[in-house]
Order: sequence, then C-alpha cells, then structure tokens
Amino acid sequence: MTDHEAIQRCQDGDREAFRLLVDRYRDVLFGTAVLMTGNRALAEEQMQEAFLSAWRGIRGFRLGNPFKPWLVRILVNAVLSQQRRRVLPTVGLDGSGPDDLVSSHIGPSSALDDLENRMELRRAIAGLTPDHRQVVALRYFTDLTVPEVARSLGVREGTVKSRLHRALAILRQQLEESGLESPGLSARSSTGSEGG
Amino acid sequence: MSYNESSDSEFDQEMERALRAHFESESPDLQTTSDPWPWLESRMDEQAPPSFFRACWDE
Repeated sequence: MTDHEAIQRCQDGDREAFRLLVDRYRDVLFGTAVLMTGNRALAEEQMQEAFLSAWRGIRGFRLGNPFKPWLVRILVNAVLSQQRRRVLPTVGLDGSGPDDLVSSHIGPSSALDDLENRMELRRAIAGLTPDHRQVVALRYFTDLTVPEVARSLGVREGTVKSRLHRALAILRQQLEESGLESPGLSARSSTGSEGG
Repeated sequence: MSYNESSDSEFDQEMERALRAHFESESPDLQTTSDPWPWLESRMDEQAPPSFFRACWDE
C-alpha cells in the first residue's frame, strides 16, 4: 500500500492503515528525535506524541503532498515546544555528559577499525549547538530538503543554509584536528567562517 | 536510498557525503526498540484540545 492509499484510508478512520504508516515511519521519527534531543527515552515519548498528533490531524492532510515532511514537522514542533518548556540534557564539547548521542551502544556488526572514526564523528555532532545539530540531523539523517528543514523549524531557508554551512565547517575542523578521517573525507583547509 | 541532493551543491559535498555515510552506518542504533502501537491505540479515541492543532500546523 502506498502512503497515498494509506492516508486516504486513515482519513476514513482506518486504524490498520495508520498502523502501517507508524511501522513505516517510526524509525525515521525516533532517529530524528534522538539526534535532536540526545535522549532516547525522551525521543520515544516525542515519537509517540507525534504519531498521536498525526492521527488526530490526518483528515487535514492534503493528499498529494509528501507525507514525511508533514510528519517530521509535527515531531519537530513537539521537540521544540518541549525544549522551550524545560531544560533538556546537554552535551559537553568533549562529548561527555548524559547524552545518548555519544554513549549509546555500538552494534555488534560494527567493524572494529571503523569504531574510532564513528565515535569521533558522533562526538563532533554531539558537540554542535542545538541549532546546528538540528539542521544536520534533519538534512542528512531525515533527508529533508533545505526548504523542508526550514518549514519544520519555522525559520527561513537562508537561516538553514547558514547553519548548515557553519555546522559542516565546524565538523570538518573537529575531524581534522582529531587526526581521524571519516570515510570519504580528505584533508582540506577550512576556516568555517560562513554564516552563523 | 535516494537522497534529496538536488539544490545543495553550495555545501561542502565531501562532508555531506561523510555525514550521510555516518548516519547510514548509525541507523541500527537510531532505531526504536519498542513498538509504539499499543500506547497509540489506547489513545486514538481521545479528543485533542482546540489549541492543539494550531500548535502543530501553523502554516
């Protein structure tokens, strides 16, 4: 069943069709929430709340529009409003702290020689400011376009581009300073002076 | 996986590729281990407060 067909059925009250959408999108919502909040337990809650909101509002969804950005936007609104209400766990610049972005387990399938590079990039991403980490997650994990990221966060496209430029420059600099290379990343001089 | 890459050539493409590869390798650790359906199903009949939808879809 396509998203379009499932959404049509949901709009007629079909719960099984909604279950299919939940199964299809739960990992992308959960992963996005983990990357935005740095907290797996909180991410679980936010994912559930986002799906519940989506069910309650699905009759207002315009068929023909892409579903994922709509769903992710609901999640992002939930995360951002919770961040405004309370102080979420933060991550130290060295990657220390309670944040699951750094401390979560490495799967048994991981190659040992890749572990150090993965951890270094994890630490670098976790060390970004929340604004930078959010655009990186939404762009490169959730795979939203720049306009979709902008709509999700309620900011202008120029702001997203500026944050992305800056975040990429910071990450490159941190990886180069660490002396480790992420797959496919070659050394390059980078000032990281764009945007902000 | 096909990526939304069309309009972003202005960015550091090497870092973009590295990040996509990183998140792809991290995806097993970014999957939820619990099924949200029982929690959801038990709440799907509840009414949302009137202000709820404006907060979620402020176009």
